[in-house]
Amino acid sequence: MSTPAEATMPKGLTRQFRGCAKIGEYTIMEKLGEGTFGEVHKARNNRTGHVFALKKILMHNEKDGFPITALREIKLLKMLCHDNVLKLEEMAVERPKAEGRKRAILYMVTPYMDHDLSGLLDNPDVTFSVPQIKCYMVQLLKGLQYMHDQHILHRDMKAANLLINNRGRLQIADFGLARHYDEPVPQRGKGNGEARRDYTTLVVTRWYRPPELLLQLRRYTPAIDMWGAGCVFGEMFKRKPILAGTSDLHQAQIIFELVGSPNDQSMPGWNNLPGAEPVRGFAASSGRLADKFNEIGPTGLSFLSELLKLDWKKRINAIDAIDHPYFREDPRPMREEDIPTFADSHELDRRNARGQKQALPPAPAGGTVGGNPNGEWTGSGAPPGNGPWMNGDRGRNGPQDRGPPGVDRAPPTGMRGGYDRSRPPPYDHRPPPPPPPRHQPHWGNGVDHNRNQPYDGGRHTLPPPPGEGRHPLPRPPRYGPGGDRGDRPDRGDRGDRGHRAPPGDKYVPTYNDGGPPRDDRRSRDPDDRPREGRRGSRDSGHSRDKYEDDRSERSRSYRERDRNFGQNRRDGRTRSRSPERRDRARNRDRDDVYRR
Amino acid sequence: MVSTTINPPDTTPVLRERPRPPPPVVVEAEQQWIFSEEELLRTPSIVDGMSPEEERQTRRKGVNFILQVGMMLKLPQTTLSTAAIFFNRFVMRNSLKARPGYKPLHQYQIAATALFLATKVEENCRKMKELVIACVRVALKDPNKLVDEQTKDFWKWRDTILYSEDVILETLCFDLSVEPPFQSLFHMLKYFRVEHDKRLRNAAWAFLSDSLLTPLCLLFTSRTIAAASLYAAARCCDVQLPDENGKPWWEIQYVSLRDIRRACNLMADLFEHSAAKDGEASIYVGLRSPEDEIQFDTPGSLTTSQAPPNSNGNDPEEVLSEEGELDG
Repeated sequence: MSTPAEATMPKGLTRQFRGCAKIGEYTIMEKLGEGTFGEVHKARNNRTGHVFALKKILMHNEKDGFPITALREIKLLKMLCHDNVLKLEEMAVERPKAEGRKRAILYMVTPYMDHDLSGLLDNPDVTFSVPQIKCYMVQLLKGLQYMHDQHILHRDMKAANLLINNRGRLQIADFGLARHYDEPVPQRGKGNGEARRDYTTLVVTRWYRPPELLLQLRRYTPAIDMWGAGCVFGEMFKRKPILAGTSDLHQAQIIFELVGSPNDQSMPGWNNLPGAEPVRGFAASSGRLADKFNEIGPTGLSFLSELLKLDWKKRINAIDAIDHPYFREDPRPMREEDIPTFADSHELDRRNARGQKQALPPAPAGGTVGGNPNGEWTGSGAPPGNGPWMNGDRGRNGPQDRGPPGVDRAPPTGMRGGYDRSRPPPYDHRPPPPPPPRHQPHWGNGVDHNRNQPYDGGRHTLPPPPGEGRHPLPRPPRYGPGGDRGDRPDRGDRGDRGHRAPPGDKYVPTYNDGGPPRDDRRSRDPDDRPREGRRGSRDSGHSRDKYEDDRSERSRSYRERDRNFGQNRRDGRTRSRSPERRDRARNRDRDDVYRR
Repeated sequence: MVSTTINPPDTTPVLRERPRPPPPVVVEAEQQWIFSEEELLRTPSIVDGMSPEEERQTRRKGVNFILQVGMMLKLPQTTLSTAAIFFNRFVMRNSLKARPGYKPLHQYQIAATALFLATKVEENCRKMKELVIACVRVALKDPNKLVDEQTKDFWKWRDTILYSEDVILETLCFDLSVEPPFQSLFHMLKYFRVEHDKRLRNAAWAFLSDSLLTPLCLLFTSRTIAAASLYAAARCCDVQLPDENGKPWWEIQYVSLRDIRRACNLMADLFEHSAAKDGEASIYVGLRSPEDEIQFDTPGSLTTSQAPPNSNGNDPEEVLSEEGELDG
């Protein structure tokens, strides 16, 4: 667009495009947080002087291209515009000046928020008054109402994902697990509607996960976010997560202890859910919500029990929640601008202050893991056909960058854990193992075997629960590192990792430096289940027989391979080759690969 | 699964969700990619000395590449239209013509990367390897070519796609949420309860498919293009779409008649002269209508939903045959 226009030439376009800035337009200030997702920096826009948070999107693996989770988050955030939803101002690009082709470093630019809710609650110097809690709740509900109305499920509602600034504004952040849903949006007085299709249950950090998800309901609705809002509401009074389960089963148990056992009145249909079996064995409980939360008053209690209603079809929706009498009785919600300000609390400061008390992550959310945005490309592993990119509508396995800035993150330990390519993929020369059996919740004797296994293709649900020494507050690093945990039907190598597992855990993923277990999430919808049998079918022609090649090849860079290609070519191939010759050449190539 | 009941079929009016105006943020983002016809004659390639005709041809080649690779990968049409939109937008900001000190990406390279991005954005991911193989095959016009990691082209294509990705992302300003016109069309068909009218549906779908090969997506919003296809199809099949509270159907869909007609006229301009396969006149003949005239329009006086083929004897099947030509 910059050629000087000659007389005969038409003049170029002069349009200014918005949405993508150069990093030079910002002055980077202090670091706000870091973790597997990358780094978050405070930065000042040179032109306007406004302060923003810049989240670096790490390109962990050059084979994947831009991480799909980041694309998702950007796409969703760009569609939303509401006072109570974190806004993606723009993207910023840094082009390294180094020689040769180098990938750009990309940053997400969002408003700078001073705190996150979980951090505030963690800070003993901060006290919340009831009007203040009401003010935050109203803002949270407005954000949820808007989001649900835009056909978006957040799927990771929790205190740590709620950012708060010093002007009393609360914003919902972290759309890394969010997705569009197809069903009609919630209507006033009509609950949260019904889902028509299956979604993955591998979502929501455990402590905030609603009972229907724990029981494996796949057709869930915006009601799942409402449960999370209820947990956050309780947490603001108790100053710690109100339902901190140590495993999924335990989570279900404490939920039913708190709000009462499920029965056909309180939770119609619970008995038919796939995960209902172990729950039948629980001791009956009539619930003790009223005892535990007597300080919040009868209306508050009614509000809380509407949010924490077991029956997901009757659970209050965001529209009705805003209208709840709780917000109209005295004391009224404070106005945003009247909320007192607090000293900044960011993850780094808090981590420093907390010292050894550093939390282990509560195991998070669902799923997956592993952090490689696309099974096959990461190099270490998925068997073909098991790759999340197979034809699903959401290939998931998400990578690192989760969530917006300002939210507290995991310690940077083990940051690149699974991406360390120096570690040979354990499966190197083996043929791909058979796909794992379909997940059946299997909760007998209190240990959830299924859950604690590594992610193996979207069938397992949970993540490693926090071990001992767990801090009461979640400090979830959001992304599991590592492609190596990726979607491998993991059987063989569980054993050799087991020694790291904290008691009660079947499996804790390894991190190169033995960091804490990560939050693994990223999951897949049923429809992107690996399609067994598709392998090689997409007319690559040779993908099946070349498969072993792939794997051994993967441990080397493709540049190297390229070189080899040249050599092979030199020592054998000619330009005109008959199919037979070509095959021979190929076989030799393959042998070469193994020899080298 | 268990526990859930299936919603009653969409025939109950209550469940039919009213069309809503697109969210303002999305409109704003889309707006920066809508150009005037005059602006389309000042694209960077044209400024660099390419003739407008050649430029249009090049775009067509690029989009055709996307369609062919997409078909090889069995990608849904929504993904392909998103890729085509990405491609066309990119070309609005980058010249395709080499000049001293500037070596442009080839239209196929842009197309391949745009498709790669679209598969991710539309959640229809394919393995990189499969994508690359399809690209090599389409580029070499040899659908059965043996391609694997030993093929030099394989790595060239893969590198190109990976290294161009962030260039394209930046150029597109990360405006990734394009409303795929096929989706808008489907919602409209459903809204007017004509999704089971096969002739109408096929005709509208075919108009839309044809539009992918044109720079229409730079002139109108996806919604307008979808509405224009439906409008053209309704005229073609002589179907009357219902008014609602005295509002014509396009207004319910937040599209202006003027835009619909402009879009139809442009389509007619582009396709009028390309005869259908069997030598009959193009379906686009007679599609043209004055932009501002109100009377002309309401397609047919018939109110039946299934009317006999319209006067100039065109059968919607012909429309389909045009679509069939895409795979060349």
